Amino acid sequence: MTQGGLEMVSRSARGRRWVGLVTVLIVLAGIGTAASGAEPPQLRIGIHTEEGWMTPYSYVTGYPGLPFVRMIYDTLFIMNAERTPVPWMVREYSTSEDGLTWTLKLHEGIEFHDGTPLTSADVAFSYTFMTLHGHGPWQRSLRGIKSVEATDEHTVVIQLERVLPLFKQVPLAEVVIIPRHVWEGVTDPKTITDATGSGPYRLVEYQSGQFYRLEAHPNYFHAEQKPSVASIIVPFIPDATTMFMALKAGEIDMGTRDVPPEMVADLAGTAGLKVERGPSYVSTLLAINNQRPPFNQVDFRRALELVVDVQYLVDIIRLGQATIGSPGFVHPMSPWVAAVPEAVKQDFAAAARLLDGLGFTDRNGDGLREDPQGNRFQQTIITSAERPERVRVAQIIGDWFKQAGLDTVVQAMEHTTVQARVWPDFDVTKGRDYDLAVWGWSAGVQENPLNLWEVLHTRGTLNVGAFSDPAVDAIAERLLGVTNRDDFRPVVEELARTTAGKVPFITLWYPDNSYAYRPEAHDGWVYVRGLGILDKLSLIGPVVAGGGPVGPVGARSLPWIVLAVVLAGAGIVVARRKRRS
Amino acid sequence: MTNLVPGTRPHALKLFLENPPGLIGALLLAMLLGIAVFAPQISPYDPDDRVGRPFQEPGAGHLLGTNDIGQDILSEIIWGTRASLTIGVVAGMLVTTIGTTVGLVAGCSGGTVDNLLMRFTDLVLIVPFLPLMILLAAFLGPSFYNLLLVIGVLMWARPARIIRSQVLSLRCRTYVEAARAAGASSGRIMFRHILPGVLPLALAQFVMSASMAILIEASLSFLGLGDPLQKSWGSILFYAQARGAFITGAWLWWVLPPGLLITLTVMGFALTGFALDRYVNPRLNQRQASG
Amino acid sequence: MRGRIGSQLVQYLVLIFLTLALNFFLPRAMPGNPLSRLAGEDVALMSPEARQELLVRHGLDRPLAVQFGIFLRSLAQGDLGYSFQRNASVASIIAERLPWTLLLTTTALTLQTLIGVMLGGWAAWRRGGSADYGTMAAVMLCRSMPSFWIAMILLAIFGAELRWFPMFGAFKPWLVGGDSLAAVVDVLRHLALPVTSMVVLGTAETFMTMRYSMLDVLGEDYVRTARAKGLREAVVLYKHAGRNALLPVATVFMLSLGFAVGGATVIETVFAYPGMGRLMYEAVLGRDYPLLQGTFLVITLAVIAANIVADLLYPLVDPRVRST
Repeated sequence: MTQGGLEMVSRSARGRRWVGLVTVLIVLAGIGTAASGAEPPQLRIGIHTEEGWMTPYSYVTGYPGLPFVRMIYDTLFIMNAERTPVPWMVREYSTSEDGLTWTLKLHEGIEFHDGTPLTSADVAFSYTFMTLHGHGPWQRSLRGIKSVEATDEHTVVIQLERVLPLFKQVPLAEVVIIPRHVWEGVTDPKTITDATGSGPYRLVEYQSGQFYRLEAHPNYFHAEQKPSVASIIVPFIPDATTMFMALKAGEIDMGTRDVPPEMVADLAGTAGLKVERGPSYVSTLLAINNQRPPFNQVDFRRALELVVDVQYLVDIIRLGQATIGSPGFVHPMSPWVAAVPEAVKQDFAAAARLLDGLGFTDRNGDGLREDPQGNRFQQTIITSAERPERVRVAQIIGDWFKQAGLDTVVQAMEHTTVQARVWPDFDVTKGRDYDLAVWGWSAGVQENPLNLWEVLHTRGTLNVGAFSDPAVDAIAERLLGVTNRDDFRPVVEELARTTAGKVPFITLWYPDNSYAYRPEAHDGWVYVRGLGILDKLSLIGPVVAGGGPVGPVGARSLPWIVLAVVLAGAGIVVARRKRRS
Repeated sequence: MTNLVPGTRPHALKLFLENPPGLIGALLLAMLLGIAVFAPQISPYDPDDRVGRPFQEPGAGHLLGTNDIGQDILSEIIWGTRASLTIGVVAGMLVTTIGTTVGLVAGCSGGTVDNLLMRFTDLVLIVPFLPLMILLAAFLGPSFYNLLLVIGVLMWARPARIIRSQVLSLRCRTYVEAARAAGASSGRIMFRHILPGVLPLALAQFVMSASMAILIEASLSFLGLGDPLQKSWGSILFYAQARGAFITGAWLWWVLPPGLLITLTVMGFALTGFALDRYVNPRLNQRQASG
Repeated sequence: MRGRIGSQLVQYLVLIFLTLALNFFLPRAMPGNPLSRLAGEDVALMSPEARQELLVRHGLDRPLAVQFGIFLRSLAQGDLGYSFQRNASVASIIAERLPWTLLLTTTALTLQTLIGVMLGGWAAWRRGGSADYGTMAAVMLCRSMPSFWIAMILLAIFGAELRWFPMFGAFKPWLVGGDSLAAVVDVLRHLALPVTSMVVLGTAETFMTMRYSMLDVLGEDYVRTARAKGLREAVVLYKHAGRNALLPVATVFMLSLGFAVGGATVIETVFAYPGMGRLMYEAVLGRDYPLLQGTFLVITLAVIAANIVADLLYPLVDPRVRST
């Protein structure tokens, strides 16, 4: 090796080498360019996290995992673009007088991807199976159901234990139908890798760390709404910059990541790209540990709220692309409210009065307030190091707290560590170890008014701040007694109003989400209210675009072959030089 | 024994003056050190103050524009010099000291001591860096200095192995054998004869480790595992790339300068080490004199 | 001799056991737990009983020592376990990723060693001249760049701007089909940017090691003697100096080869390459204990194997060591 290498001294050898290298590069680039002309028409959606086998029991995240699961599996009802549940697999339905018995008639001719007909037995099986096996939202969605019965091949009768005002939304538009012949007898559903469903797309290939391939379900049941692309490739691109560069360069046609505010103008101005922007039900907040003094005092929490200027945060960090957080937590666009309480104006003097009143005064003249006992007081904001927006929030809010005389330390740590501190084991009964934390809830929390109980009630499972207030509890409990969908609104509005004065946490903003795509590849994207464009609705329509299905690649031996080629090449180089010397 | 090594050491200052790359390296480091020391005087703004609109392009008020929350990027970079130099020097010294000591003791002692030390080195080499990093950050509290400590404590194994392999080849050499025959103790052999032999390599390892530490900090920052609250070049790059600098064209003033400064610093270490190497290893000078 | 090999073997076994223990307990000592991966993001909405059942099913409710025992027992049976977050056996995931990782890192390592040895030897020979300074400066400049920085810049120039090379992945799923030559070319094109980044960054280590050890050897008596005897410079360089200077280079190479199995997290992240580094990184973030243990074990074994080979290699490359 050495002998060959050292011959580099020879200028001509070096010259030849460069010529060779450049030739190889040009050939590689050339062949690739030529080959790229022959790409069959397919939609390429870059995904930023891997989602297992995309079965209802193996997907990982609510976004982007669940939307893909919903393309592969269908639901009895579907949420339309306004997020109102409408019948889907169900042709017609009726409800008994007391609202406890639902009779659902399925469309004829629904088939699973493997050609097996989907019958009411599969529906009954799915609902029973998912009641038994918890994962994602399934088990919880099915609470309150007494029995599910297939009375004939296309009829399902569901008996409820109590009236469920949101039954069409949850579970009918939520719980997916799985094939009985695949899942029957399964005890550990996580081990199933067969993603056969009845949705508009079927999963034909999954290569870990690389891509998914979906193809249109050829016999999709719906008369008008057919899968609108023949084939979808979903390459996995973890890095945001790479994903947006690939979008700009036309290597993918859509990215599941929302475009950060600072890139929106640039991507929207790129030829061939379109950006769809809309409000999102996601919320960003400053969580407060209501259990730990002095945060257990509402006046202290109010003082904190008074020095946080949410408008400033939205302007600086989101470049204005967000809705200002309401102190009542409920999103102003939520279907469950007409109006929400307005954000508190920043007022350092008012905050100072509150803090003085609590005995938090600066006794030693160092510019920082001591606690009522005269001891040094310091609070800590923890935040996820890998999420720059959140670190910035913590820094800016920390500065305001210091300005108000409260000594504040900001700590950035790995996201899972933050989770473990705020929400150990995802179980609020296990306690918590933080003062203040930059936190957030996914869009689903705003969608279902019953989730407000989970967030605000003393015993709520999402009450990570251990907030407890009798007045709020009383209103939240009334939510559980609502029997008619339309009766939620006054209760939710009152809950938001009452919560606003109690400051369980500080709601900072609800972002506007923007998604970029290439309309040339597919232009059917629908911005679903509060969620975004990655939705089954965006990929179904009246026509199927051209291009036939492409079989799975099966590239298992490919890396070995190429490695052999590379090593053989290196070997030849070394051997040739050795021989010559 | 020194008379086995003919030639004398040139004066350090003269050596730098006669060695352009070394001079450049030393000047680079001196300049960076100057920037670090006089950061408060040089920087136009306090790097923590939000002094303008976010995402401003370079202009009269802000030579390198402003970052995602309106801090002056130039001031950030100037203050970041402190953090980045500290990482390099402290972690590099930590790594080299531990590595050289272990390599020297293992290589010279041989037998059981060598075996135990090397197996321990292997263990350290194999310790999964990422989880330990996260673990220590969680236990010690997430901070810049803990990061530094972890880098130092986890990186010494490679230099140790390399130093040891050098010691192994030195041990057989004539002058060591002669010293042993003359009845010199192993400690004496180790420090008088072997240490000088491995010093150039140790110096190379210091250069490598110092630069590696700066680079590791930058990489960890990129993965979101650094300390984003510490103004270092790594964390500036983290925000830059996380907030679209590569997409929007801001990379010209937000990504290139800190990246180039990292590159220059590492170069500074390398070129200085290059020159120093001739100082600590006079045999090389002698060889040049004859050749 | 047999006794020595025996004790070596015992040492390595102890080492493997220690790393196994470390790999088992370390991830579990990290704050946070894998529940969200086991149960999906809506884990909070599960009843405490369902959550408990999940922990029981995965054996996470047992005392750590018992879990470790179970882990060792199934390992002895060749079972690496089942990934929490990916719903596949750890062995199958690794089997899927390892070839790509090896392709990426071995290609880069081979190239950088070839280039490093050539340039390093040459620079040492020209020591003190402008050729030496120039090469050294160039190589050091390259290795001084932050990895994601240079990777991103290459990506921006050759991927996004010039569009010479693809920007992500190991191959284009929509290109590869029946034609195997096109497939090989496609894979090579996808390798171009990540491998270039790694070679740009990695050559310096071989270069520096080669150069320093070459300088050292060039100062040796026998080399000086050879030169004094009037042997041709090239002969001295190749025959006498080069081979002896290779010992540290071989060490560097073998150590790197062991780690090649671990992949390159940053490069894999930037270019979305399906390697082990990214896999491990995601396993850490997701607290996917079985996957972590599996990847660590594979990397551990590779590193140990590389060390053994390096140990065996010393006497072959440098006969002087044989006497000890």
